[in-house]
Formats: sequence, structure tokens, C-alpha cells
Amino acid sequence: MKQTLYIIAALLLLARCVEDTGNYTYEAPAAVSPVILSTLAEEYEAISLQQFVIDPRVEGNEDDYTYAWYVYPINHTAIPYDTIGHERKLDYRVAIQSGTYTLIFKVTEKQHGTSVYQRSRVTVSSIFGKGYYINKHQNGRADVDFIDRDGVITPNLLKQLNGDDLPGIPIRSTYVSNQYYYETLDPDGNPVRSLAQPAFMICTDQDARVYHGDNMRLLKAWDSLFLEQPAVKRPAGIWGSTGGFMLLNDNSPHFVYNNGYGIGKFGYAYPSDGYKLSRLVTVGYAGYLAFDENAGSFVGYYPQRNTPYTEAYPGYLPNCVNQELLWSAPRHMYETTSLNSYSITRDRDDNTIRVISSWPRYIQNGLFVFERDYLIPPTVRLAEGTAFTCHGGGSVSSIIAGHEAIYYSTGDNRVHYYNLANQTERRDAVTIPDGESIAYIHHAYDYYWQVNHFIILANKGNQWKMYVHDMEGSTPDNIIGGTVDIVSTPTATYTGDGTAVNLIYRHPNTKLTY
Amino acid sequence: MKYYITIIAIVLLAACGNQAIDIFDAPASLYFFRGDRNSAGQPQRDSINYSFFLAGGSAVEDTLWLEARLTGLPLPVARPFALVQTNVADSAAAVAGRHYVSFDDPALAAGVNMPADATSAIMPLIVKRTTDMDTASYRLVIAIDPGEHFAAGIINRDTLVIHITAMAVKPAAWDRYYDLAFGTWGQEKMRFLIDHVGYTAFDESLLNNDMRIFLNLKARAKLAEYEAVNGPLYELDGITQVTFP
Repeated sequence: MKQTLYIIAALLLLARCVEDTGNYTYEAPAAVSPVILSTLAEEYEAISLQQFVIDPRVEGNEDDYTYAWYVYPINHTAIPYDTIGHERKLDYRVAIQSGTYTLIFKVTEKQHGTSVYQRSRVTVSSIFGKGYYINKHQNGRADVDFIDRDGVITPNLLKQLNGDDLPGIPIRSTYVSNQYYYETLDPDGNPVRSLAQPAFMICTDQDARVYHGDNMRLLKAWDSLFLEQPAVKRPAGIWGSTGGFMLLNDNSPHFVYNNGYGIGKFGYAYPSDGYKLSRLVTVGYAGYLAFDENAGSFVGYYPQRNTPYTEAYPGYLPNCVNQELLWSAPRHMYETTSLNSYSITRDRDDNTIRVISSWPRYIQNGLFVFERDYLIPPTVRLAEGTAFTCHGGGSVSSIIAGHEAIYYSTGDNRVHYYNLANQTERRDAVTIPDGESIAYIHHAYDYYWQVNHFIILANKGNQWKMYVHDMEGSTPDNIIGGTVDIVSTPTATYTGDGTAVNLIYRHPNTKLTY
Repeated sequence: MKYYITIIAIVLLAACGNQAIDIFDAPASLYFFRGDRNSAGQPQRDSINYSFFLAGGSAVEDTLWLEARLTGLPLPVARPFALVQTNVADSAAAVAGRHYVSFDDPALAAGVNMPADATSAIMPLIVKRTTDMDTASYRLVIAIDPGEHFAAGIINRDTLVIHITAMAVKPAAWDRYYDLAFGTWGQEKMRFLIDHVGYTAFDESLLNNDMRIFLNLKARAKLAEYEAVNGPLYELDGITQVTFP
């Protein structure tokens, strides 16, 4: 028996030695790989519900290949991957959610199965994804006049789309992309969760509402905005952050925190703790830097901590006391990030004016950091300002380069700035026509996506006017390379009905307008 | 050579034979489900702590839904079995008819069966409140009497313990979720949460951070309101002050 087994094993082994006479042809991979003759652009912009077309060229007979166009989101796991085309020519009616995606064009040779691909990036936004949202009021009602990427103005956007505007005078609005998790009810009354959606929120002195950032349809009105309805309706501001949203109501902050489990409703009021909270709040990451007008001190909030911070981190400046807060806002760096924040204070005893640089972004780490302050000379009329903004900052090094300017207007038709880097003031940096009263100024800046322009919003009679200016030294090849000076002649001018209060500028890559 | 052909032929023929596959024919048995929620939505871990404390002051009777599961094959006919109390002689044992509706109550007994084609059975346990439950807890150990249709069930899963009381009972999920919102559990703290915060769903997972912070802030706000009128709130020992983190 053992011998028999040896024989069988030997036969099997011998079979391995038989010459393989199969008909094979060996070719170099490059010889059988498809060749894409054209090159995808580095970046594309696509608009929701419009055709997105790319027409690449391939070598040889295009029927010899199969094609695939893939998109997968950059830095956001809650948005699904998708395949948006199977033909050489991409002709896609954009139906994916707003956001920035990596775009892959893959060509596979049918006979051999070899593939090549090219990679690009596409930013998808809706028709509302780029433009200016002007918060204005008229006859006791508040709405948004929208200026789109082509300069077309849609007045009263919220009422046009939803049949209703808001009561009161706008305080502020905020936009955050892909951060709003919320719940709605289907026709049978069952809850339906929506994940990581873009949201536009607006607050007036009488109301607050949430709209979907892509289609601007109403998502939540006041009666569905809270986990438990507050007893008093006295809204005072709404802010977005990388960690959620804050609504100030009846002197107490309420938060939505984005941890993936939320349903898009604001939580219970934080205790007021004897504070009288200012409407001026600045944000960094998920930290909120508020101000107590009673003590004249800053108060820091982070939605995952149920008590506010008041004690500054050792080694930095102490929290101020007995100050009046004139202005406070983040210094934009790029799409998701503010650098430091600036606040202008006036001492209640001696009227000295200070600009305080703080880092609200560290509040979420338990650090309440006031980095430095600047004593402003009495000759500088910063304290008379009614509209302020600061120059954006690309990096810490740009501070050294002198891009640390506070712009202000005293409500007339002129913009001035004080350069913190060299303690010099430039008066009348920009002048708009006589009789117009500047209500709001804003430096739109994004280091990464190359945004750098200055916006002036003014009122005259029952009309608002908006001016868009370039920055001196900014060029098409190096948009952010300009100085803190503003080109005096605007590149665009817009006008509309009503009294404007402020605005947000939204870019397709904007994740947060603060 | 003929020798090899014979061997190969035998091997090939062996491949044509019918292979006998073992068919599951073990006797059916029953065991108690164990997990966060049974098919009726009732938490059913190795024991169930039921308190009339959560049911409100006027409730004198409540129904718990217990689940038994099948090992073995479902059949197209319902198969009855029975529930029995195994700790009757214990000092703090629940008393049938007094603390719960007896299992041999005809209305209940008729419903204790494994339904046709089913793999689990849901059975009611009707607990009854007595005045001494405000300071006492009664223990009910339930076993499955398999009857003629089932064999003995899985060891350690064939009994279920129910604690019946009207005192506040620390919810099983407290240390997993609620201590983050409310801190250390206490009876008076829990009474306060029910009466003043309006929260009773202590079996919920509370994974939602928004809800956790919401409950914490609300509890703190309500406690501050309460203390402003009544002064500090203490547990029954008179020493431990009720606070929230």
C-alpha cells in the first residue's frame, strides 16, 4: 500500500515538470495601458443641479476602454463616496452634497484590464454657495438680500423661498458647511435624521431660524429650535463654530454640539451667573469668548463644559475687569480656522482704549488665553468707531509682515485703520460717496483659497449700498499677497432696498463664516 | 498499470457516494433573554429592578414584559410551558397574589407559551404595589418549568430575578451614562430629577451629548431654584447634600 502511495505522489510531482504549451504573449504594462491625452485641471467648481462637464481625450479607440468618475469628500467622513459617471465625457447633473471632493477619472483597457487614472479636486456648491448675504430690515421685518457669484441680486431671499421672513431687526447670521445634524419628521410623523448638512442661521432681535445651506429652505423655526422651549424669547445673537452653534437668548447661551448624535436643537440655558452678556461674541474653533458687561470681563464657553471660564491661563495676560467692550471678532485665516481674535475695550475709569488679542480656540482645551494687548493712543479715534473689522491673517508670520490692522468707521462715509504692527493710523483709507452711512465693514480673507477683498456696507435713506474693494498689492497670481491698504476704487457696487445691518460672505470652500 | 487504474477508479467511485449530513435534532429548550432591551422594549438583564417610584404616586399595578427564547426548532403549533417562583421560602421573597399576580392565574397562564413558528415568547408579569414597598424591596426568582414540550434550558439563563419595590432604585444604566450628567446616584436626587426636572427615562442610553448637557444644566438650574426657596436638599441620611456636577 505504501508503495502505491509513493507511486501516486511521484506521478503528481512529475506532472509539474510537463512543459506548459499555453499560448502566452508577454507585453510591457505601458504598452497595454490606456493613455489619457489631456490633463484634468487642478481644481473644478460645480454647481448643484447644473451640468458638470469634463471632456478628456484618450488615445486610440475610446470604445476599447471603460471609464469611471469617482468623487470622495476631503476631510469629511459623513459625506458618502460616489461614482458620478461611466463615460469618457463626464456630463453630470450635480446631485452630490456641497463640499470639496477629490475627483478621480479612471480609464480601464477592456482586453487586458489595465487602468490609469488622473486625480483632481472639485468643489460643489449650490447656487447659494457663493456670494454675499446681506442682513437687512424694512418695515419691521428682516430678510436677506443675496448677491450671487454673477452679481445678480435676489432681494428678500428667505421670504421668496419660504413664504415668510423674520420679525425684527437682524443681529447677525452665520453659515457652517457640513456641520449640522438634525431631525425632521416624515409624512407619517417618524423622525428622519440628516447628517452633516450645511446650515445658515440668522438671528434678529425677535426671532432666530435655521435654513438649509444648499437650498435655503427653512429647517427650524423658533418653536422647533430648542430641546426645551425657553420661557422668555429674547434672542441676541447666533454663532457657528467648528463644534456646533451658539444662540444667545435672554442673557444665557444655548448650544448645539456636533458629536454626531445631536438632532439640531439648542440645549438648556447656561446659568447666567449674574452676568450681563454682551451681544459681541468671538469664536475660535469650538470655543466662544463672550463678555460680561457687569464685571467688564470676558467669559469663555465651551459646549462640553457646563460652567464658563473666567480665569485666564497663567503666564498670559489676566482677564480684564471694569472694561466696556466696543468690538470683538475673530481674525480669519482660512476656511475653517480663525487665527486669534481681537477685542477693543475702553476702561470705565480712565477711558484708555486697548486692543486685546486672545485665542478663543484654546477654550475647548481649557485654556483661557489673552495673548497680548495694545494701548491705543488717544489721537486714534478707535473708540468712536461704530463698525470694525480686522485684516485676516495667513499665518503667524504674517503678523510680523504687518498684516495686523484694525479697520473702523465712525458711521460716516470713511474707513480708517490702525496698524497694530507699527502703531500707525491711516485715516480715510477709503471714502464712499457723501451722505452714505457705513453700517458694516468686512475683510473677506482666506489664505488657503486665495480670498482677499474688502467690503463696505452702507445705508442711505431706505436703501443699502455695498462696495467691494481689492487690497493694494494683491494680484491675480498672488491674491493674498497684498498690503493692509485698500484700493480706493471699488471693483463692484451693489444696491438694494431696506436698511442693511451686516453681511456674511460665502465662498464655495467656506466651512465657517464665524 | 491495471493496479493503478483500480485505485483511481476506487477513489473516483468514492466521490459518488451519498454523504450523510447531521441534522439538528436536539430537544428544544427555553432560556431567558438577557440584554439592554427585549422584544417588548423592556430592559432585561440578569435581573430587573422595578420600582413604583418611577410609575408615579397613584400607580398600584404595572406590567413588565419578560422574554424567553427558544433553542431548537420552531414548530407550527404553540407549545405551552409555565413560570414558577423558586424562592418562596426566602425571607424577602415576593408573595404571589400580594406583590405580583400569580403565575397560575388562568388569565396569565394561558398566555405563557412559545407561539407557533416563533423563536421567542413574551410573557406579562403584573407587579402590585403594597404600602410597605416605600421602605422595603421584594425579590422574585422566576424559573421556567419546561413542561412536556421542552427540555431543561441553558444553565444560568434559566432563572430571572425581579426586585419589586416603591423605593428609588439605582437604574442599571446609571453608572454607564447618568453619572456624567447627574453625579453619584441617590434616592432623593432621583426623586428630585423625577419631580422637578421631569425626567423618568432612566433606561435610555443617553449617548447624545447634547441631551446629557441639557439634562445636567436643567438639573442644576432647577436645584438652584429649589434651594433658593427651600434651602439645601439632602439624601435620607441628612448628611449627603444633593448636588449635580
